[in-house]
Amino acid sequence: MNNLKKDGRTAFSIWMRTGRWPRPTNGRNLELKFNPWHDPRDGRFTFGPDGPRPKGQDKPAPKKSIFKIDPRLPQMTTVAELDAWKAKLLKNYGHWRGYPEAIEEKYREFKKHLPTPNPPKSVLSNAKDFVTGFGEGAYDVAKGTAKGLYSLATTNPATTFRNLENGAAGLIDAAIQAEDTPGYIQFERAKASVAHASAKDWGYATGAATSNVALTVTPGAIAAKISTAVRAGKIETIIVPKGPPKITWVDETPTFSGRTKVQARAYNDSATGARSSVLSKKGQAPAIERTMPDGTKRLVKFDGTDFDSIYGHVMIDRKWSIVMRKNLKDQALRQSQALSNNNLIGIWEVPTKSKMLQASRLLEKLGISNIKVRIVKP
Amino acid sequence: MMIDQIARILANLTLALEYSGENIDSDDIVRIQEIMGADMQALDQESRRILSDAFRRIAPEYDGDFRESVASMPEDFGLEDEDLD
Repeated sequence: MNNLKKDGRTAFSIWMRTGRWPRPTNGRNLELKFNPWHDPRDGRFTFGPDGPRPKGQDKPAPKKSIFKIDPRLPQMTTVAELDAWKAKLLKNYGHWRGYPEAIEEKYREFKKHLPTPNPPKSVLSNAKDFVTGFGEGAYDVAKGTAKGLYSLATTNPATTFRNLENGAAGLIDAAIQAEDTPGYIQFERAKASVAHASAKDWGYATGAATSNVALTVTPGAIAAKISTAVRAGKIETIIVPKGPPKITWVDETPTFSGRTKVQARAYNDSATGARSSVLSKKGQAPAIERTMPDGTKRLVKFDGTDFDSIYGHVMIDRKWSIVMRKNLKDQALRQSQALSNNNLIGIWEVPTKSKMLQASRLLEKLGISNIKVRIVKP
Repeated sequence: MMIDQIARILANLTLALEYSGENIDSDDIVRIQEIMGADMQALDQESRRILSDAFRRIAPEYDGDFRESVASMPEDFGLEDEDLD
């Protein structure tokens, strides 16, 4: 009796410490066998499917599943996970009578209920996005044209990608339109671009390459277009500068005041790399040299300078609005030439989408490809 | 009409800036026109249409290149662009 009490206390203390009840040993190290036909509900023995049974019970009792699925197990979502689970069970319990069949049955049941894998989402599944992107890329081309291109593009199996929200329009733009960039860089960019392209991006790329839209709907075709251009000598190889550009900082002239001026000034002054002079207490603009036809040098001003992962060192110019008058066109041409002289790419930053389209249209008309446009909200 | 007079003031200012030669820095002219453009684009759609019509009405008052320059102001200053933003 004392031993029983003592065993009970010991067992309880083990349970307290480990959360497990110790196996009863009756003081001897007897191994307890597991009987698969043991009814866990009442502890009574049951009959195996082929074993003897009392009279009047000719048919074997309905099979009870040997499985108690642990709810803590992570849900299996792939056939590979399921196969691994089955192999593990067969290894551990496959030698027990009836277990291989039960495992196989459960395996089939699980397999039937595996979640259907998400089909690769077609980037061209959204015709609206495609048409919108096309409009941004093609600028003045009628958007109706995009519908035909959409049909063309959707027939190509190469146009299915994930990572749809990466916004690769800019990359595609760089890959296809930056014809003053070495061909190998364009090719790398094109590869990177199409790997993350969305419907809108495809539309953009297709619209941007107005020369031969059909060529741009597959990655291979983009590569073909680029390599053809290289062979034809259309891509002018430039030396990509390794260090930062040679920049001169010049004081900015204050313009007239007013609410819009304040907003515009704040927008321009917040360009990356913008600064002001402590001495003159004026904003300073970074400027790079432009070589004139007679060999003399003149400075061309921007609003900021930055290092861009795609274009390297860039010169930034912020535009509060786009006014397509002669002075802006002249400025764009001056900047483009100075950028070309310094092997740099320029970026116009505008506050809204409509202004981005206006700026893109202007640069397109002027044949300028080394100035890009992007939206930066104020 | 008052709106025609406002259009004349804007047109004359724009032309004066553009034909100022070397007296005014060209980048500064771009800045000034950016602000003018932003102010004009900030008008509601109906006001933009009225101002556009006024520029076209007064354009014949100007000679030579100036006439075309004034007539193109509605488009150049973005008065006729759709509201995309």
